[in-house]
Amino acid sequence: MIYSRNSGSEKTEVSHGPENTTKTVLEFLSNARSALDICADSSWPSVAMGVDVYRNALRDVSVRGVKLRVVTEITKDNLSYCKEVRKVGELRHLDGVKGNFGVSEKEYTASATLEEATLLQQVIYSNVKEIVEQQQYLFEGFWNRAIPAETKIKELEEGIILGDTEVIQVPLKIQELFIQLVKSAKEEILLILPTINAFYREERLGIIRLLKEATLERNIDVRALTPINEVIEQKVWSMMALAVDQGKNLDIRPVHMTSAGVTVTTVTILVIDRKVSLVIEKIDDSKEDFIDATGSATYSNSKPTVLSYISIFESLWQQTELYEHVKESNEKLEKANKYLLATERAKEEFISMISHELKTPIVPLKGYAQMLLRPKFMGAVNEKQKKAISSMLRNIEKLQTLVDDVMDVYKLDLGKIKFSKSYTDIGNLINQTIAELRPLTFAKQIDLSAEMIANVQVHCDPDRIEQVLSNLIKNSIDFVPDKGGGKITVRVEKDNTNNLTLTVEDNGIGIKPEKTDKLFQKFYQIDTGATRRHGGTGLGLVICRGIVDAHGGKIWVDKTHKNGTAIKFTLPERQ
Amino acid sequence: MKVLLIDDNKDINEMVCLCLETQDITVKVVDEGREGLRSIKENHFDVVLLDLAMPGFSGFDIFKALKDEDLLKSKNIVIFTASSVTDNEVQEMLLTGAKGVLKKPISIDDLIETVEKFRQ
Repeated sequence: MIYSRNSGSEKTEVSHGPENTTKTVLEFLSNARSALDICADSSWPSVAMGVDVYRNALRDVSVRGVKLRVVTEITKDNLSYCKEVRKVGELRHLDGVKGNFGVSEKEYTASATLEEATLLQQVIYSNVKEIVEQQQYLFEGFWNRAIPAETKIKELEEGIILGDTEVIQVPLKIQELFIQLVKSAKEEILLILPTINAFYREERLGIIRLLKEATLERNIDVRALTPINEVIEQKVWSMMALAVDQGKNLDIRPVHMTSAGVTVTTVTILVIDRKVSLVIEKIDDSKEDFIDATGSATYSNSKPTVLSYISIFESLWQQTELYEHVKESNEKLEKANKYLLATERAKEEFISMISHELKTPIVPLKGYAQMLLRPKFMGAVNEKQKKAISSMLRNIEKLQTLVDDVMDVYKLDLGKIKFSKSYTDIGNLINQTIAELRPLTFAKQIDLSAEMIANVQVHCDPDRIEQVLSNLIKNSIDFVPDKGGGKITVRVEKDNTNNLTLTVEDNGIGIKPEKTDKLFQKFYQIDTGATRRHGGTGLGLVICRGIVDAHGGKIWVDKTHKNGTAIKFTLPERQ
Repeated sequence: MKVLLIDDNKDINEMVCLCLETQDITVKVVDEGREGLRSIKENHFDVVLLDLAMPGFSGFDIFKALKDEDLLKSKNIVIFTASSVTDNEVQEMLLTGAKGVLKKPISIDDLIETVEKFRQ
């Protein structure tokens, strides 16, 4: 039955029964020229796409180039039909849409309850201008409030609707969400794994493979921090090598647990596209299965929350940079060190060889010179020859001393001289030294004597201390007056802490105060002209200082001593 | 008295011979390592002056061979070297059976004194 009220060609009528309603609707659909808007509840899609007649008509609408817009409530139940709808027009979703109507440029239809996939029972039709315009207006309102179908479909398909921050307690859900988020990433994935077992669990879950796919197939930047052992290192390396080969960004770095805070070691942190974070708590790291090991998880798409996790990630990431840098620096240092040691060894061997080579020619020089001066070996020599040979011998001995000194200085520098220390009676040592050097005092008639306390034992290397005394005394011998009156005294004093101070003093030409500081430096000669005459090498005092230093003592020029030179050095009782 | 001098330096050898022969000492000179070792083993000498740094079979090698064959006690070996006396190796040799050390460059007094110690 059709009831209608007419005013000219404009009419509003109601059709009843499947035959009539179908006719009305089909006519309405075929009359649409450019635009067709439908607003319907969640039962509509199954009717529209499930009933052949309607489906074909809507397809025809699309083929004719009519712009079809549909607003409906997309649900799990009508999802597949909605997807069909999207093939013929643009679909949007609005929660809780009630009522069903369609409006084209000039016409309007509406129906009441729809039953799934059945023909309509009652349909209202109108082409009254005011009504049509009103419904168009109403439709625009719905359309603007609706959200794109993809969003809703995705939500439905991917199963989870989440608010800003949500705590998820069900491990299975957490597992699904974890996988879903990784799959849904578009630009960037950041991941922190807390333990080795976490790596294995998540590998079993397929997360690691998904990361690989994300980077290789979808060009996503993936960065991850994970603890490693040899096995994991291998896997990670081969993944990264593959990525690098293809010019993709996959960077997985070892995180050293000692550098991470306690909190970070118990959770897995995932950040997707810098917009969404998922923090998964471990309750039992010994479990092999993700679900068994997992407690609760916190999901968030709130900007401040996500940012805070990003900053945790970035600071740990920075640390790996630092760690790599330090490791690299260390490796460089080790290399440099090895090189230095090798160079040192080379230097040492060189000096050893040189001194050995220098000493060898001196053997026959010295031997023959000595023998020439004693008639029984090669016969007598005349006075002139004797003088010449004596001069040669003197210089040969100087050469010998110089070679020994150079070696000593070098070894002292390296700290390589071995001192064999023992308790030595210092009095005996001094007397011995003086006795050996006495022959050198005859030429200038020098008074060489000692003033000391008897029976003082000191822990030292006697040969080396003798070397010091000998050096100092020889220097004094050089600097006291040539023609008699020269006096050299060796003095020993003990302070109340049982440290000895030895002094070698003379009444020679003395040393200018401003020159005393550099006295014990290498090759420094007090006065190159004068010392050349006296035959110093500039090394003797350096060696003295080296030996005294090695005994824990100090050596210096006593500036209070007038009329000559006094050099003092201390020998601590114990070193 | 018979002395064996094992050293590869001709000038040193001549000088030492000149010095010792005036002391009524017979000196045999060998300038090569293996020949030196043979001489030590096949003959009796009152003392052997052993240079260490020789090319090929060195004084060190000779000393080691003598040590291995346990001959150091019966042969009087005096190390004749330019190395520092406190050198580890020289010290060790003194500890394991060398009977003395002559430091190059030697003074002829030291040379005579050291050698005379072994006169029977």
